[in-house]
Amino acid sequence: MLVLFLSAIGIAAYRLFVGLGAVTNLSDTTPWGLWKAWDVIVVVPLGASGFTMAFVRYFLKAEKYEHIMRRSVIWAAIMYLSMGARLMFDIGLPWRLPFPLVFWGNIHSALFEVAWCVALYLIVLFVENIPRLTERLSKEWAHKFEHGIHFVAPGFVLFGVLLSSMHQSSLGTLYMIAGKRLDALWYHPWLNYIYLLTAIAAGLSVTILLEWACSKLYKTPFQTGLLSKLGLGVAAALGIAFVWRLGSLAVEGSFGEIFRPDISSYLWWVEMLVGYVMPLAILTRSAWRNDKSKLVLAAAGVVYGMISLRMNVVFTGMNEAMGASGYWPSLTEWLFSIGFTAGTMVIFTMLAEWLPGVVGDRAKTPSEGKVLRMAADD
Amino acid sequence: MGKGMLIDLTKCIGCRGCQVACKQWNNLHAVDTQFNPEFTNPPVRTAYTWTTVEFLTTELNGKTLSTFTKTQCLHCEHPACESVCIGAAIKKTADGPVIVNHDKCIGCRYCQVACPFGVPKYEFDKAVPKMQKCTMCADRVSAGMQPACAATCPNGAILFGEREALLKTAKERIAKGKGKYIDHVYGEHEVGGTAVIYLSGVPLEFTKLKEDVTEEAVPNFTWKAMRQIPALLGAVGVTSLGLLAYSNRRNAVEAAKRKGDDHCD
Repeated sequence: MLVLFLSAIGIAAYRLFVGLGAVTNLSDTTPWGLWKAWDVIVVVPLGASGFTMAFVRYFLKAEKYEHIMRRSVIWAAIMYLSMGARLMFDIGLPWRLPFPLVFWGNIHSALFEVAWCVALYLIVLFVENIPRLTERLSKEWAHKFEHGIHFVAPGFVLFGVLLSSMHQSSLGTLYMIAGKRLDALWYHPWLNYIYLLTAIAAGLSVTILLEWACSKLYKTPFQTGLLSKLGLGVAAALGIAFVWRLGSLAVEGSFGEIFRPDISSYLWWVEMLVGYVMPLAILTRSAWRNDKSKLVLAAAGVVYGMISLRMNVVFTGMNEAMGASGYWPSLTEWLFSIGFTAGTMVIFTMLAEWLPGVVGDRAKTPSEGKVLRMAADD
Repeated sequence: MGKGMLIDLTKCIGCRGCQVACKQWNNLHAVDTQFNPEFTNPPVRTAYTWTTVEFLTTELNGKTLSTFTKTQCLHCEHPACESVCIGAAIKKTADGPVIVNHDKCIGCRYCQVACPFGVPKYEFDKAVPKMQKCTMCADRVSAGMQPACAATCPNGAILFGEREALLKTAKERIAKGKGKYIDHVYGEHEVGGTAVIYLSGVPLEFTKLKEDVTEEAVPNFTWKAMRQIPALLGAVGVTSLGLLAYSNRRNAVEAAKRKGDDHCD
C-alpha cells in the first residue's frame, strides 16, 4: 500500500511539470475523468460518515455510539483532507485553488458553494477531532481545553450537519446543469436531493463497514445491535431515494429506457439491484438486519450504489451528450487514484491505532497500557 | 442590447476564410491535420481552433446535398459557462461577447461540462493551461470594429451588428425568401437566446447545428436547486434542534424514572 501511495505522489508531482494531457486521457469531450469522479465526487460522500454519526451521537443523544462516532469522524476528516489534496492535482492551476474562495467568487456556481462548504466543514471536522488529541495528551491545560470543546461541540456538530447537507446535495446540483442532456436513466429533476439521501445512506453504511473492518483487523466485537439501528436509518434514506428515482422515471415517461439493450442500461440494473433492492430487502427485515454478515453485505451494497450513481452520472450518462468516444483512464490515472486511496487507508489506520477510544474494546497492546498507566498516575 | 452575429448558411461557400482570419487575429497556431473523409478541417474545434466550417454531405430528395455550418461560440444571452464558473472568470460583457478572464480561471473545467454546445476548449497539453474559446473578437468590437471572421467573409454570410436588428433582418429574409429559408431563426429561442443566430435553407438535421437543445436558459437548471438551499438549511436545522430537544427530554425522563426505581429498592 505504501508503494502505491508513493507512486501516486510521484505521479502527482510529475503532473505539475508536464500538465494534465501528458498523464491523463482527459480531452475536451471528457473534461472530468477519474480524478474528478472518484477522488472528489465519490470521496466526499464516503466521508459522509462524519456528519451522519455526529448527528446520531449529539442530536439523538445516543452516547452508546461514542466509539463508532469517533472512528467515523476521524475517517471523514481523513477523507476530506485527502480529497482536497487530490483535487489540487486535478485542477489546471493548483496554486490558484484558494483564490476564488477569498477574492473572486460566483455565488451562482454550485461548485463555488461546494468548495466553501467543504473548506468550512474541514474546520468543523478538525474541531470535532481535537478532543482525541487532548485526551491523548493528559495534561491539565489540555483537559481544560477539552472541556471547552465539549461545551461548544453541539454547535459545531449542527454547523457540520448544515454544511454537509449543502455540499452533499450540491455535488448533485453540479450535473443538473446538463439538464436532459444527461441520460434519461440517471436524469432526475432533483438530483441534488437524491445525492443528499444517498450520501446519508452511504455515510451510515461506511460506518458499518468501518466497524466490520475494525473487528477484523483488531479483533474487537462487532456491535450488531447498535449498527442494525443505523441500518434502519440507511433503509429510510435509501428507500426514499429509490422510490423517488423510479417515480421520476415514470413521471418523465422514460420508464421504457430501462429495457434498452445497451451497456448503460445494464449498469443501471446492477446499480439498482445491488445498490438499492438488495440492501432494502435486508435492512427492512429485522432478522436479516441483525445478522452480522447480511448487515455488512447490505452496507457494501449501499456504498456500491452510491459510487455507481456518481460514476454513471459523470461517465455513462454524459458520454453521448459530450460526444465522448471511449474514455478510459490511463495507467497513471489509475495509479494516482488507487495510490491515494491506499494512502488514505494507511493514514486512517495509523490514527485509529494512535488516538484513544477509536478502535473499541480489545486486548490491550503495550502502547495502550502506557496510556492507561499515565492516566492512573494523574 | 448586446451585439451579435447573423450567419446565413445559404450564403456560405465553405471557403474557410473565417477560420484563417480567426487564427490570424487571435494568434492561434496551426494544428497538424490528416486527410479525412469529412471535409471539415481541422476536424474538431480545439483550444487552438476556435471556429470551423463543418461540412456535411447528405441526401435530400434523392440529390446529394453538401452544407457548410460555421460553428463557434454562440455567446448565449444567459451563458451556462458563466453561471457555473467557480471563480467568476467567465463573463458576458455588456457588448455581447462571452469572454474568459485567464487570470481568474483555476482550471476546474466545469464550463466544458456545462456548455450545451461543447464550446470551451482546454489546453490539456500545457503545464500552465488556459480555457480557450471564441471571444467574438471582443477587443475589435470594443474598438468599434467587427469580428475578424465577419470582416473577412467574401460572400457576406456573416453579418455583425445589434442582435435585435439582426433578428429583424433574419425574419425579413425568411419572409422575402419565398421558401429559400426554413421558417426558423436558430438562436432566437435556443437556450434562452444566443447572440449568434443562424439562417438555414434546409432543415436543421441537414446542418451541423445542434437540434435537441432546450429553450430554457440553462443557468435555471441549477439555480432552481440552489435557491432552495435556505429552505433546506432551515428544515435540517429545525429537525436537528427538534430531535435534540426531544432526546434531552427523553433522557431526562428516563433518568428520573431510573432514580424512582432506585428509590423503590
